[in-house]
Amino acid sequence: MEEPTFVQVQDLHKSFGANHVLRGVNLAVGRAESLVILGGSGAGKSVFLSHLIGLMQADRGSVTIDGQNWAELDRGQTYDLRTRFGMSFQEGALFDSMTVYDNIAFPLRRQTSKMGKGEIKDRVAECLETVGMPGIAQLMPSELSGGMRRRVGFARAIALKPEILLFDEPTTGLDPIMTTVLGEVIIQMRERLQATTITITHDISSAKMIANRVAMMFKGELVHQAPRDAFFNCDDPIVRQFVDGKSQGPATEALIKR
Amino acid sequence: MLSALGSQVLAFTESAGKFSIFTARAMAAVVRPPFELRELMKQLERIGVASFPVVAVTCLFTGMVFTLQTYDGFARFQAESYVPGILGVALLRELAPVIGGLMMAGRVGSAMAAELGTMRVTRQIDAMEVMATDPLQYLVVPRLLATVVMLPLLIAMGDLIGIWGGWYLINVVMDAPLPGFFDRVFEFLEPFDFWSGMIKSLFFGLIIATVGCYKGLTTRGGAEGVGTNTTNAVVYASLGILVSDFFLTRMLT
Ligand SMILES: Nc1ncnc2c1ncn2[C@@H]1O[C@H](COP(=O)(O)OP(=O)(O)O)[C@@H](O)[C@H]1O
Ligand SMILES: [Mg+2]
Repeated sequence: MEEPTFVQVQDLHKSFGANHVLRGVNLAVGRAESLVILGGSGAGKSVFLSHLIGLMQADRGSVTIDGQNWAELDRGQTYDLRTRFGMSFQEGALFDSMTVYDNIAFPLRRQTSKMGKGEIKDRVAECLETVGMPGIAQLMPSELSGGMRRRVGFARAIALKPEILLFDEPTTGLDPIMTTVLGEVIIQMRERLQATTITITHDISSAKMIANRVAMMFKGELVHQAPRDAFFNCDDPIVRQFVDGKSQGPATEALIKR
Repeated sequence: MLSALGSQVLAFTESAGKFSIFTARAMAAVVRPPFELRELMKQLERIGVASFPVVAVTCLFTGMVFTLQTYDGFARFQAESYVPGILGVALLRELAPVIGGLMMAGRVGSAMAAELGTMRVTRQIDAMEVMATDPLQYLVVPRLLATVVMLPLLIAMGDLIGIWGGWYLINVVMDAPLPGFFDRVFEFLEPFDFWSGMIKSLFFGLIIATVGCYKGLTTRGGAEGVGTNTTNAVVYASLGILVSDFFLTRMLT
């Protein structure tokens, strides 16, 4: 028998009061796949990622990771499953009472199999090197620029070399060079570690670079999913408007209303 | 009008229920490994050591004012010699725990609500959850334990400082020597006077920490939310102290 799809989302609904944000999301992502989710702001992308990692519970429908449904896990199982994830937040979400070093070391120290002090130090240095910021380990987050904070958040997400990585707009506000560098890191994570990556981005060129598959979130649904080349060549009017960045089209109304 | 009142009552009952569940979960987390010793030490230092000056000054002046008032009153029927005993009882049983507790609600409860609230709205709490760390264990339990341990210690020191304040006022400031001041205090006091104040402090510490952490963790809506929740943490913790003081006093007399 075939093993279940690694990430399986079925008919996911979520409302905040009267605001029906997710309206039936369906998604299947296999191991070592790289999915990019595009979509206008307020479409529900960040809320969707929160469901994937079990930070929010579905009103209706299910989210299953490697055969385990978040809704059926108890507290211990929830945290166990989360150790297989890495996530970088749109807001950065660095611990502002800790140095950059302690931020990146945090997931390393929290895991059950203890790493030695030296190992942690090496891994933190390696992660900072990866995001192009060696030697800032002793700074506090408040001493960093927005783009630097985002990169530290990215470094923290990959520190544990997790099986599945969620990136919420990792490159928004970064210069084009850094955007490409982080794109390459995402590709490496997939190719070397066989990690599954799900990335939210507005940046069409980095989407083209890192994706195996692209999905478009629109009004709380994933309206169009396709392999990368098929996606960017399709003629779905919503996708076309977004990819070509046109101000007139079917997606405009939905964006302006919010 | 009436329906507005009704929905307010409902909202209040709902949050009271949520707060009780939160408190129960925090208690359960206290005895569940892993134990965050480093965080606990940090909070003991921040909550206990750093609060000492505030509690000391509060108790010093409370002791002096109380002595001044009672001395003035008791002098009308030549009963000045009872002042030390009354001071000891009032301070240990009531004044030091309540006034010290209220000061700590302002100092420590607000800091917890503001810190955890900021962490909530900037998604640091979510980041912690994602890194398989229970904020209840990592953030709430150390604060709770530190407050519950430190408040009685601070109040016990405040007791001594307040009594010394009374002595200083009579013997030095008023220059009306009352021989054997301290002997009179400790002859009059019973051990239970001291312990009832300690039990109160322990409860007040519990109230300050749970309200502060609950208000912090349930913060919504950016900087404004942090502001209102911080204010509410102080208001609710102070009210909680004053109301529970009545019931504790009834039980402990
Ligand atoms: N914790 C929350 N409580 C209430 N509403 C929320 C919350 N998080 C997100 N929303 C709402 O959900 C909608 C989608 O938000 P989000 O997923 O952040 O959009 P984006 O696609 O830009 O990431 C917005 O209307 C937002 O107001
Ligand atoms: Mg978002």
